[in-house]
Amino acid sequence: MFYTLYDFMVYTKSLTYILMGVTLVLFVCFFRFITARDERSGRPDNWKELKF
Amino acid sequence: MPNRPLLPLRKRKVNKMAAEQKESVFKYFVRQITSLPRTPGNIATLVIFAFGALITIMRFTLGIDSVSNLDDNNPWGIWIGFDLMCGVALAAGGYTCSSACYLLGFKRYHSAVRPAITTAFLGYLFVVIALLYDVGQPWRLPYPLTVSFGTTSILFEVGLCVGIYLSVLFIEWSPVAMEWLMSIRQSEGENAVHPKVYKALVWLRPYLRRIRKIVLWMTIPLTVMGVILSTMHQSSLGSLFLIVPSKLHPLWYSAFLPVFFFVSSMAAGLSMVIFEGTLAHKALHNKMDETHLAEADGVVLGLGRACSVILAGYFMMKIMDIGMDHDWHWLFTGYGAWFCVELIGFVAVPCMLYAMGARERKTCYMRWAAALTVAGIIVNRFNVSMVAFNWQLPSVDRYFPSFLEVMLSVFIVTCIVTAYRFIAAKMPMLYELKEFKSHH
Repeated sequence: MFYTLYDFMVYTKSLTYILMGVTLVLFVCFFRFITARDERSGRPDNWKELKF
Repeated sequence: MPNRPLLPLRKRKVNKMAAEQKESVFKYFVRQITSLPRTPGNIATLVIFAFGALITIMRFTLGIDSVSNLDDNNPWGIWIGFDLMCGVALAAGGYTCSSACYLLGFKRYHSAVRPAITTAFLGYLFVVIALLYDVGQPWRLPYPLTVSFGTTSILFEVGLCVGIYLSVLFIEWSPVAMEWLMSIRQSEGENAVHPKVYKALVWLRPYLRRIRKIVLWMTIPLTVMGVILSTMHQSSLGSLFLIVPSKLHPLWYSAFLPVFFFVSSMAAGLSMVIFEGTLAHKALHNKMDETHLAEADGVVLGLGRACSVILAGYFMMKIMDIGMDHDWHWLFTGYGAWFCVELIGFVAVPCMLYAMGARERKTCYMRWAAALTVAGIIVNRFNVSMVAFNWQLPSVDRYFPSFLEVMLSVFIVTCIVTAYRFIAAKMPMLYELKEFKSHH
């Protein structure tokens, strides 16, 4: 229960900052997930050189 | 100096045909339309067009009440929610693809630019046409820009941007039509072009060549304008709902609605390019040249990878928005369940499908993800403009589209598909003409 707007803002902003931190970490993991196989196999970014 | 490709011999041939053929230009065009094959698809299109004509007559003679369920509580229905909001979002492929190719320098997406620009142009054109049905009195459409400036209204900004961007898209798309008109040659028999039409085309040819050159020279400024205008009006469409915090369900209402609309439009545009490319590959495979066929998988993989990153960002922004507004408790209601379906089924799932497709280099994952994202954008715009709008009203006062409203939207979509098919079949959109190849 929030009694003042200040209480509400402190609670929601704190939560949002935590979520932002989690997002940053998750985003790095997500990007690694997409690109990791390219790095391991040494596949170039230029798809024209790829054989599908 | 304009080229003069016609030889005197050809001129003589045209004159001879004109003497033999007494048919008027009007009859010539009617013959061209009536000679179309009677396939089930063409007959269905004809039936939908007949419905569309009927609804148009009813709308503009009997008023909006005769064809729609709109009222004072629900002044915006399916024509705004689907035809306008979904149409604009799904037409975002034009600016995303052209900026990737011309501004960011990803030339490998060049083959996707023309289909994307065509889709965007047709999308915006029919958005404006659909808007005429909603606002009525089409002759007053330019009023906000000429007579009564509504500079304090977000709708004014949306109208201004859509109007200018439609013009920009027309100019960007025009080389396709100009190359087609310049490449038309006279032939014998039933396929012969009407002598008068051909004569006009021959007269136009040098001017078209010059105009095309100017338009190609303007590609970069036009692309920059496209990006600026799209950024403005895609977000402004979300801003329209900032004025209704008490009418829109808290899960969908947010101070960041403009950002959500803009970010989701990028994903929608890229997905639409993949989705439309997939359909074009199935239906118009024979119209594609080697470059398009060879580059297709690369375009899907590249755009799909970008789309996965955008959708991931969009998903996290939505979660953060729930946290900022402290809307967690709403998730355990009926509307919350529907919100989860939208966010997980139409954002998280396609995001992961795109990511897996990018990782495994499997285009089939991406094609499914594109279809899901396109459906997701439609679901999102429907939710914001209709499902979650006026959610506190009793069900008797809620809006549900009438049959004729739905049929008008079907008519608009059929018009877009028919125009796209005509352009893809006749014009150099999925292939490049040899004589213009070096200029691209």
